[in-house]
Amino acid sequence: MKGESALASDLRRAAEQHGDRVAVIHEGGVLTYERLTAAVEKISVELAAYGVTDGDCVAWHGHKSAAAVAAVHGILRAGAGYVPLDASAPRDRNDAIINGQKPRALLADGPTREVWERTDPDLRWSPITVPRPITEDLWFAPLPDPRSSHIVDIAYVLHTSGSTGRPKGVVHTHASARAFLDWAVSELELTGDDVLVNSAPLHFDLSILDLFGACRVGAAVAVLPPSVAPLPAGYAEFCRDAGATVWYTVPSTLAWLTRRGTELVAGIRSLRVVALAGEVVRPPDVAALRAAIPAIRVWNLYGPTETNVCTYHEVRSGHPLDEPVPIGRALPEVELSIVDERRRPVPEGEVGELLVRGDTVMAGYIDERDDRDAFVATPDGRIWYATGDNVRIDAHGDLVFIGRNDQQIKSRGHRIELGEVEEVITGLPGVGACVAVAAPDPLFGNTITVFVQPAPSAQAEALTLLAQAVRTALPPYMVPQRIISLTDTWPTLSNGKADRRRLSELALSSNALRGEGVSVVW
Amino acid sequence: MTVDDGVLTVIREAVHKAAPAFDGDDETQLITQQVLDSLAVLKVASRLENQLGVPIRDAELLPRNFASISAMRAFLATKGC
Repeated sequence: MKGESALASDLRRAAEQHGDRVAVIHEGGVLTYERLTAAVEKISVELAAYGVTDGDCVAWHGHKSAAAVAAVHGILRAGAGYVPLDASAPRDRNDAIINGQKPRALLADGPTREVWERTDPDLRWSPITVPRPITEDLWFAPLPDPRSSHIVDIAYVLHTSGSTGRPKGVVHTHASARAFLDWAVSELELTGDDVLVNSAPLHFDLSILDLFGACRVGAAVAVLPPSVAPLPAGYAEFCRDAGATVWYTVPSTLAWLTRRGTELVAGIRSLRVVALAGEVVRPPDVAALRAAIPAIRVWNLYGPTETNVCTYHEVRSGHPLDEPVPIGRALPEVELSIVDERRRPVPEGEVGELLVRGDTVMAGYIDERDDRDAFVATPDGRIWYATGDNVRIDAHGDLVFIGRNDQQIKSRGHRIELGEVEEVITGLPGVGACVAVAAPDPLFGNTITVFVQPAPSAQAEALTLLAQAVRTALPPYMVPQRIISLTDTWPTLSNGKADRRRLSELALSSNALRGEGVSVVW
Repeated sequence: MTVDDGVLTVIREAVHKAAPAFDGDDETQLITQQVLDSLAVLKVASRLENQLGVPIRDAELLPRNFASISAMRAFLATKGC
């Protein structure tokens, strides 16, 4: 066996040095580093007994809880990388992830295992009894034809939306995680006294700071329970009661929490740092936050899942309300280049695509075919990750995000390829063709409207069932806010492709939707 | 069984508006079963405020008040509805 990996040794060190400190704050209480480690050790020993070893991957599927935190650390301690599945995603999407990834095993909590048992009776489950005070038991099932990763030092694999309809597995190593954490601990001045709120799901890369940043310094992670997360007062009360000091979340969540006033946020008096990432930060939301907690420090962090955070900017007090918040400058171990179509650097101040290379960048995708489009060479022969994001440098030398050229959007901080939404909906019964468009939304970044043409053979009831079918086929954050059925053809460009701009306008104007042959399915 | 005095109808409509595919009953756990997400909860709250003419304070946007249609009915009863 190779030496213990970086993330596993961080936990071991925290437990040795601060065994009695709180490691996890969860719905049912708290867990010290000593107790967390006991659970993690038990899980890793059992995984090893089932044959899990270095270079393997183990999928984690369950709800957020103390047991989920122990499960992730247990997989890492066993030498494997963890593959978090979305607890709320449809079975087909998780199947696609497992089939592309071929993990050695599936680790699940009780309720999630019950769902798998109903739909896949061939899996052989064994219980892992986790030491108290964790009350949830975990379950383990070996998966057929496991494949070890070609990437050494694999730590975790996150899946992003893919335009082909197939999620892409982004592989991060202990080295890339460590590069990000080293920077974050120093920049955000994390110490053992901090309490990091884990707001993001574990399949979303914001959770890397919460889970492992806390371990690195012996701080606590407060795991926001799913039962309170959708309710503003429930969310704020949990943060207040946990004594939250660091809150890493998406701008949509900040907007949502401050939308009805600042009273709730002001109640979280212990909060000292808010880090925002995943979508464009709106200055009025930051101003509302500062009105609630004047001494708060606010960072805008940027980076696709593939690079983790690669640029950062501290948003100063008094940032003009009508000026975009920069995404800032590169992390110390990261290089950036802004290039034109021929991948030559653009003159300073001009817009170009952002390329990234350096220690925080992923090792590659699980499916090496995906690497071809993502990694590009500049004329000097250097290899970069191409973000697809257009940026420019402002007068202060900070990067400013301009937009994208493709069909990738952000909604509630989630990265969504409209192509994936289209691909999935086109495959549903009764649908002939479909186009998904995004409309800007002040609260959640973007909302999705889908235009559907019924299949020629479609029965009338197929479309009435479509709303339910869509919900079963897509994860909740990809479910369109509206589905509109057009019996006529939709506006097209001269090349015959759907006129997305025209359809976006149509989606925004509700009057235009009352014509003949138009019906709002949802 | 709760007698429907009209308020229940308003609540049921608000939930259906915010979550069109909802096919549960008054006791269905709307938050833990992910019927209502963070956006849908705000939509339900605004609709209840508009339809019933009662203000709902931020601090009242709590799991116990919005856990189910019945829980919302009980919560609104405390506001005189």
